[in-house]
Amino acid sequence: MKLSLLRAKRLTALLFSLLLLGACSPYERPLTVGAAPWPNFELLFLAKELNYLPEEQYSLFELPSSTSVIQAFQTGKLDVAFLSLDEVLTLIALGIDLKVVSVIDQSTGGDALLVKPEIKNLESLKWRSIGYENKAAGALLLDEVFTLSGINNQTIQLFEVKQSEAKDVYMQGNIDGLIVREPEKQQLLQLGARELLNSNILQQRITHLIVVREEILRSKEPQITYLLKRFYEAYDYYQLHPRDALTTIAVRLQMYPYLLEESFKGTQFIQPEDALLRLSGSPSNIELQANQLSNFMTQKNMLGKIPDNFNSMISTRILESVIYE
Amino acid sequence: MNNINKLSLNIVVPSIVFIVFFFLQGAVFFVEYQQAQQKLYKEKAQYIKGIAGNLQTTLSNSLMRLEKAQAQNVVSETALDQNFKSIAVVDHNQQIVLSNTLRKKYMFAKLQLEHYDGQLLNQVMEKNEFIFQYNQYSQDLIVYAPLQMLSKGNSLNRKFNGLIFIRYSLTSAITELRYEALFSLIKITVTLLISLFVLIYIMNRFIILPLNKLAKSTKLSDLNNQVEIDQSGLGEIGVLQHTYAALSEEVTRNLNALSASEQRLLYALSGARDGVWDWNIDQDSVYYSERWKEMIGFKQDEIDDSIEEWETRIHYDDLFLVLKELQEHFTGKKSFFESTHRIRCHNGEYRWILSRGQTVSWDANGLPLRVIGTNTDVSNYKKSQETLSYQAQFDAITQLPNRSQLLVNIEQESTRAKHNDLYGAIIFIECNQYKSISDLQGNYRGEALLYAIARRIEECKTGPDFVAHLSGSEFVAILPDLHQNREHAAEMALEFTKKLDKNLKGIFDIEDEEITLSCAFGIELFPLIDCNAKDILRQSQMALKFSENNHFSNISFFAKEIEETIQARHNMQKKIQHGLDNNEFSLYFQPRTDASGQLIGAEALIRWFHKTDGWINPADFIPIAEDSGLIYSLGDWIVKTAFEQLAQWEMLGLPESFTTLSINVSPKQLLQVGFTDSIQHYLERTQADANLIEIEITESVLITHKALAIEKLNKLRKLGICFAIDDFGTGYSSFSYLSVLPVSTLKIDQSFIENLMQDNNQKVIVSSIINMAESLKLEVVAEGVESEEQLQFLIENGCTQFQGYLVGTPMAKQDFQTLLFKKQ
Repeated sequence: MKLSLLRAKRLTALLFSLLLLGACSPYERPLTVGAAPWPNFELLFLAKELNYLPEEQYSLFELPSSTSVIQAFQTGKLDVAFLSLDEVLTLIALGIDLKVVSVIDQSTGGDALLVKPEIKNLESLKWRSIGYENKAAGALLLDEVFTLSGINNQTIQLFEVKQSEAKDVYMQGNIDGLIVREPEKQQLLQLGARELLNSNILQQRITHLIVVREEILRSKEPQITYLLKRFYEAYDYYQLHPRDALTTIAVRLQMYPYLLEESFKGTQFIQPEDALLRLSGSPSNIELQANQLSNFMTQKNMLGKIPDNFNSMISTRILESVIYE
Repeated sequence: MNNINKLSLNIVVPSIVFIVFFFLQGAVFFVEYQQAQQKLYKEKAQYIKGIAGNLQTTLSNSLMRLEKAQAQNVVSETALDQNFKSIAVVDHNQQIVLSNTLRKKYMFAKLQLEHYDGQLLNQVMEKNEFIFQYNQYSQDLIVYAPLQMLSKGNSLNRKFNGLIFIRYSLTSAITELRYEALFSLIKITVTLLISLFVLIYIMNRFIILPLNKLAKSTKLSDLNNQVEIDQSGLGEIGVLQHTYAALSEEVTRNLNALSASEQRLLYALSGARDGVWDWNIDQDSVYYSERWKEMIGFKQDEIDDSIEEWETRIHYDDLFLVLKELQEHFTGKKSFFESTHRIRCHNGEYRWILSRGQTVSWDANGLPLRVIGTNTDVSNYKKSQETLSYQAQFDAITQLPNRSQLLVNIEQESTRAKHNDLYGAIIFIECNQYKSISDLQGNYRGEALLYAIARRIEECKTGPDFVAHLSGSEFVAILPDLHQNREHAAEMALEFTKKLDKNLKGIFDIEDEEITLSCAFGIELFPLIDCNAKDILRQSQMALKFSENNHFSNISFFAKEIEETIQARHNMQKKIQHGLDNNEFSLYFQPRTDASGQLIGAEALIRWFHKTDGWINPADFIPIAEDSGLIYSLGDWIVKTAFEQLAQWEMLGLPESFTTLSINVSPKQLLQVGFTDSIQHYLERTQADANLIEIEITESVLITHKALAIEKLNKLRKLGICFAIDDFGTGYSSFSYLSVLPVSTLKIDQSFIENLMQDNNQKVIVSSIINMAESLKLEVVAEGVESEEQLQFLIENGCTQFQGYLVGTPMAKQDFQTLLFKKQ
């Protein structure tokens, strides 16, 4: 009798462990990652091309513009997004729970104001039309334009032109100036556009980050860590085999590699160790940036409210794992 | 089968429930999974078709307005679902115009798009056909939707110049579905298992444990004492416990009673020192109890369980009886098997065993299956019984059979005598002085004397004789098979008694004292009609009482006529002897004539005139003389006298016609040693002519002592003596000896002649004898001729010589002599 009870107990234990095993490994959807074209973001797609990321675990969405990325992240279609700081602030303001896990780069000219060749200076833009994507990068550059040229939004026509539309809009010739970023910047320059201003002169650097939905970070931390590792490995590959890497990336972006190389020059890649430093501390470097940017954006009515505790949106664990493990 | 039965319900019931549930749930799961897959497929197909429809509209609008970037946006955003493996817009040149994967843009669709079938392009464009496919193998839903990409001015004709290719993978959805189903199965299984454990617990708590408790208390060994039974069970278990408690109480009571009874039985068995055996015939094995084996000197392990262990030890003489008893029990003739027999012990000796048993079970055919019984050692009983039996049959002092044994023997001998037609005798003996010797000189001496008497009596007895001791100095002797003739038997008994008397008169030397006894004897002959053994014994005892006033002084017969007959014979013998001594006998001569009536001879016949009794018939004294042996003297006297007479007549000058003087010689006399010598002696002494002498002998002596008779006859013949066969025709009348014997004459017995004229058969016999004699050249003498007719007949038939009253009666010497010489 006792023996059979003991046996039953063992059986129960076995079944419970089976159950736990079943609970641990139900069907897992792949991690969805999305990014719009941007030189250092391309390292993500490079990693995929290099087969660094198994297809069943990582689903990469190639989105044409940051707006699409924000929308996708906002609607939960993306778990991980590659975005600029202002875009992140926008999402936070919308009440999306997310975590910043890494800092990728800073725009050092990657964002620029391009104009038709006949426009020679900023002042010539008066009464002209400018297309830009309603984002902080665009707003900062535009603000700089206003500051430098004395033009204000009364004396200029502003149009919303998304990143992917920029080339078409420019070619249609209906718009005089466009605030664009790489790699469209190079494409437009190739078409003869003139660069009047770029992000290099901005006091506030345009920073690009990797963000993860909070609940995803909790449930898929190893997967995210792995993603970042592979991302940085792709960067390493780019450093070691720039020609190969550029060629590969160029195919996706449908542009010449040498132009792409130019595009990369407009960015300053931040190594993971540096990124960790920027994310660490209280207040952290990023937090300070975020506060500054959010103030600016609030002034411009781009942001409903200033996120109060940005630091809590930062998770350094992933990066620590990437660096130290 | 048994092993399954022994499994606990705790395992069996949940196992069955689990198996049933497992299979049912498996089936349900399978069906549901199939349905869910089907549903998924339908939903997804609908979804993809919807997406395709939307894209047709939005892409067409964007592309016709040349807003390619807008179109790309639409494609990219639509593809924000990892299951979209491809969303591409292909133009009429098979070039990819838009794609969710940017690097495929402006590439050749057939090369870049997996599962893309370029041949369908024309079909889709021209026929405006919406193609929907499902690739079972890769689990992909594939859509080819026509797309208008370029505006054709104001024409109402829509011109399709491209298509939308969508490849949507169901793999993850199906996998997810599978995982979900599996998960739900696991959940259900776990729920089931938990339920099963609850069930097991409940069963265990409320059914199994109470039942086990009940089962433990069911062990019979415990039932000798009252068992405490838990009666707190629920429902039917409670009822079962109640019922069992009642049963247990009852069983305990019965068991105790049984155990007490068994103890009594065991005590009785051990007290009785009986061995038990239990024979299982069916299995051919026997249980022998320890006592059974001990009884015949074996230890427990020295005898195995075969029936041969018993059978082979049974005494050979008893085996048949034992088997017979067993057979009779088995066939139902006896309700018990009971046999007293000897069994060989360990030391080789035999012990008497009383074995009793009874069949306790039978098979369907009524044949015994099992017999149980006991063995009792009855050796001591048997021994004392034998002693008793001996004591009952034998006298302790004389070592002779006692009265009861005697009676049995008388009974047996009496029956036998009747059967054999022989007479026997019983002799009652009493020693007259014994009582006084015993009284005066002590019992011991008396017993020694009795012992000595017994031995003396035994010395006299021969083979079949039987001697018994009654009481005091009374002894009885039985002499069986004495003689066919009662008087002879009596004579022989008397002889024996006389011998016994003489023997007992001898001096007894008892402890250096010489004792002389005188005894009395009573004789009774048996068998007696309507008399049993006791009667015969009593009559012999009564005969003893008369012995004092008796002819034989101390010997007496119960039957007085016998005694008297014997007495008469004895007297006759004395008289014969006296007669011989005093010349009371004389010879008479009967004439023998030939056919012409001439005297040719005579037969010498003995005659006795007693001075007081007068003439005594030869028929009265001759047999007695023969029996007693006086015949020798008598015969000798006849021979001597006849020879002397013949010699005298010869001297006087016998007529020539006189040729024969015949003399009768009894068989005893003839066979007597020295008979021929005495004949020769008398011939020489008297000088009588032997050729005139004819000796008549009977046939019987020739039959019984043929060789001796022939030898003697031949010797005498040589002397010249002739022989005649007397009484021819009455004996065996064998002709064979006639040819070998020196016989010259046949004398036809007078019984033939007597009725010759009345009986035709006699005539035939007589004439045959005459004819035969004639053939053998023998003379024939017809005796007892009394009439002329007889004589005439005999003459006619060739008879030559005659004797009888007609020709001459026996006459005294002087008369015959006168006759003999008168004619001369």
